[in-house]
Amino acid sequence: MLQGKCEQCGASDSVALFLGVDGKLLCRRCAAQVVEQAKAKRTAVEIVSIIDPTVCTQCKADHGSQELPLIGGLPFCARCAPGLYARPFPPWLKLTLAGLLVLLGLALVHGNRYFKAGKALVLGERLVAARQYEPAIPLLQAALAIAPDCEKAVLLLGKADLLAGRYQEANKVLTGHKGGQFKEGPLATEVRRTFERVDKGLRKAADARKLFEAGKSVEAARTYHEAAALLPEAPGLADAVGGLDAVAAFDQKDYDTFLAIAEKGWKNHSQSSDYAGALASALACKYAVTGDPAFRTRAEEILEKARQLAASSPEAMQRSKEYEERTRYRLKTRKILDPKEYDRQFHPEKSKPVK
Amino acid sequence: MIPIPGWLISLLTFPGVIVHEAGHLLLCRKFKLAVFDVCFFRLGNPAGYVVHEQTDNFLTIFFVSMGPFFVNTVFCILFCSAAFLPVWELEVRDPLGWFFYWLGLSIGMHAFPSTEDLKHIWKLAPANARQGNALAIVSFPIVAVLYVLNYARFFWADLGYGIAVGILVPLAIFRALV
Repeated sequence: MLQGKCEQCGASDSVALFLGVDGKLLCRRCAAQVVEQAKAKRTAVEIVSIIDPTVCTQCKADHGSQELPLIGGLPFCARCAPGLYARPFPPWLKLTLAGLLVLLGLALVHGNRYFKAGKALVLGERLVAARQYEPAIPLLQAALAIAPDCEKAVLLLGKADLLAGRYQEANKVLTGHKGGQFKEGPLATEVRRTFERVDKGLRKAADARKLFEAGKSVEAARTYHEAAALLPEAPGLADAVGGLDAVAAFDQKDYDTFLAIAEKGWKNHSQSSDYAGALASALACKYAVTGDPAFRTRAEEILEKARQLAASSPEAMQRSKEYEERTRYRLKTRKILDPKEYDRQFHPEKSKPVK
Repeated sequence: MIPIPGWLISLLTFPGVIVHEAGHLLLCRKFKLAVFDVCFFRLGNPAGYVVHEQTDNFLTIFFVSMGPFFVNTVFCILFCSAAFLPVWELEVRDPLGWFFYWLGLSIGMHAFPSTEDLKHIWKLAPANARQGNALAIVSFPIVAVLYVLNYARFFWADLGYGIAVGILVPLAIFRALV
């Protein structure tokens, strides 16, 4: 242990108990006085602690007059010095860090299913943006299976369903999410507008159905056209409109228009017995009003074709039998009866109420 | 600005403090710097510290000072990557997901090196840069930005960093993978 002597009062003690004040070695009492005086004069003093190079900083062992090697400006004995370079991690820290790594592994495994859902959502979103609604639907459904409250996935699936003509599914998805409430945003606005358009279109279609059932085929066809304009994505709606136009033309005795529509339908659906039957019916009408045998010959050819096409399905066969009978009656008598009148005359049992 | 005591923030984000100081200790051992004192967590300022020997070796001081920044950032990214989809994108009410997000965010919040650490790098960088040390040259802008961010902690820059790293990086990784 090195001895020090106070430069102010001359007191001697271990140098480690002294302080360096403005470059002077002072005992703690004198140092305190100097500091007080400096405070009173409002001047600054530089104070440094004095390190005894013969005493180990860590174990405090006194090595007499032997100065110890300095590490970071502090004396350490040969026994303590190696420990400074290999400071151990406490066991609790090792456990904590190991636990952290385990948690990280768990987090990555746990996040995997969400990664799949997120991936499905992003891919579905891209397909919706590319207007490929049908292939987007299963992806968005997969995302929702994992994240049922994901508003973005709900809106995208609703949009895809709406624009793929899957109105019931869209309604179920959109109204099933928090009672149909969504946070305001461009996607929500777009889907709401599409939903309103579709809703309006479906109401129009229902009105058209009622008008048709009331025998107002012309008004029904016009309303159905309005519905079809609102529902361009609805599958088969354009064909249904064509069918109604044909019925309206028949009811108005506009057989040229009826034939034109039937020809177009048959051209587009050359494997359908129903379209073949409609064409045969139109040709029979033309034969009935003109007497041109060419219409009759072609009507019979098409009826034969319709029978062949209907052979594969019992339901189609049943329908084929019905219109074939009426068409053949029309060809034979050149009388044009609408289905209701025909049934009234030849199948009265059909109009009887069921008991 | 919401005045929240530092000790409370430290308590709420204690995993980050522990990881930060453990990173310092690990790198001190790796670069053979004497360690005089260590505190992995306490309710005080600073919340943790590693008192170590100084050196004139720039590589050593850079990694010992900046190491925890990189370690904490990487842990933050990994934990948040695993949790950001259920929490931010998919709106899943998953407590485990939120736990992992808290863990990632806590670690990310304590990524910044202390001003003391930055001072050490800043002191050695000019001389090393003059000798053509690429790391010293690169360290200038990094240290300058971190210095500013360190002072901006008052304005929650550390939380902002954690959130930015915990959202933007996982999002970028996710977008790159899908």
